[in-house]
Amino acid sequence: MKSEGLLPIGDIHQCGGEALPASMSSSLIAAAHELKSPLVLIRQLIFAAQDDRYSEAERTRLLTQASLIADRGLRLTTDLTRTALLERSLFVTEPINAQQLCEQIVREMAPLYEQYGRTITLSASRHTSSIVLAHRELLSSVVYHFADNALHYGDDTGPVKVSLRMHPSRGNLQIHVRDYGPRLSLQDWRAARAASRALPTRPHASGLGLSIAEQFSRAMGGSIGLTRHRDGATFYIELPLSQQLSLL
Amino acid sequence: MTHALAIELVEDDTLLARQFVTTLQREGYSVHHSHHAKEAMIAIDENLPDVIILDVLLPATTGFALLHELQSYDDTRVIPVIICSSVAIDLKEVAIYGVKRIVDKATMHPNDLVAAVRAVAL
Repeated sequence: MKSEGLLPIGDIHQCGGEALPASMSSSLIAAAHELKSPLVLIRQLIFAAQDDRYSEAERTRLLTQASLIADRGLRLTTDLTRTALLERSLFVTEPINAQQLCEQIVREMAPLYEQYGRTITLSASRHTSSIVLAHRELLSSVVYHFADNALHYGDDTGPVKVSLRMHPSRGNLQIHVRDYGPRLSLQDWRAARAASRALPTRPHASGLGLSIAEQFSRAMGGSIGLTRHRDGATFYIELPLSQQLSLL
Repeated sequence: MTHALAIELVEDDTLLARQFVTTLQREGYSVHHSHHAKEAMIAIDENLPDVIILDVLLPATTGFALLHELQSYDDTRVIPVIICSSVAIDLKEVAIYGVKRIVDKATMHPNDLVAAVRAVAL
């Protein structure tokens, strides 16, 4: 007899009569879990903003936080929709300046990091040009998910660092996002890439962001990778350098 | 003069924790916040709280592991625990770990947390 309380994840897809494929159900659970967190937070921020005991300045801060958290949830929803369209849609790659794109993402994410008392920095590129073949929105999303993971699943022992590494001999460029926090197990990493699922070493991370990043990078002819450190992790995306470098 | 009831809040979301701390402090409670189980265990070891409010999905070590740890010592075993989580948990299953109340993070009002503290601190 099963308890009515916690259900093992493997059992959930068997509930409600018609069975869902296990992979689909785990993705749905991961998506639901990942979207629930920002909603829970927004709800509490709104309760607080309605409380007369907060000053006007504090209420403004609370609403700013709610807005930034809502943006995060919306981005995730948009990207989830996009993953469903990847096979049917053609995402044309074009030469993209990776350095400029990363500057833009760091600029956009800085206010959210600030609300958490954290910082995100971009190392200045030593390369005169960092043009990759990519789809602008997909690449933005990949870097965004890496940076979002670093914010929510790392700790505050150091700033999150975004950097670029060019490998001309291999004809590619890597965008790195270094975080500080619990060491990610290899088993978690492999599972997260294959399909979104909870990561025991970073339990709030459903793996959904990494799963989206994996799918988006493949759609652009790239790949994602991980370097594990004692005090955190570096997630990276590797993309082909544009052959039009000489023209730009 | 009576000392304020001491609460150890274990919650990894900084913004959410900030709201809970503010709510509880306004009710006169003394609140210490830990982001994860290891940090919480150190804090609890240094200053035994009167109540522990615990999220279960925490980085590295889950809230359930912390519950097991708390049950291992005579002085921490008796501290009432309130689980505040959006994960569905049956109180009957965790009551043996000192859990007295479960507050559903997804549907709770801040006053619900205060009410839960009042109920277990009696």
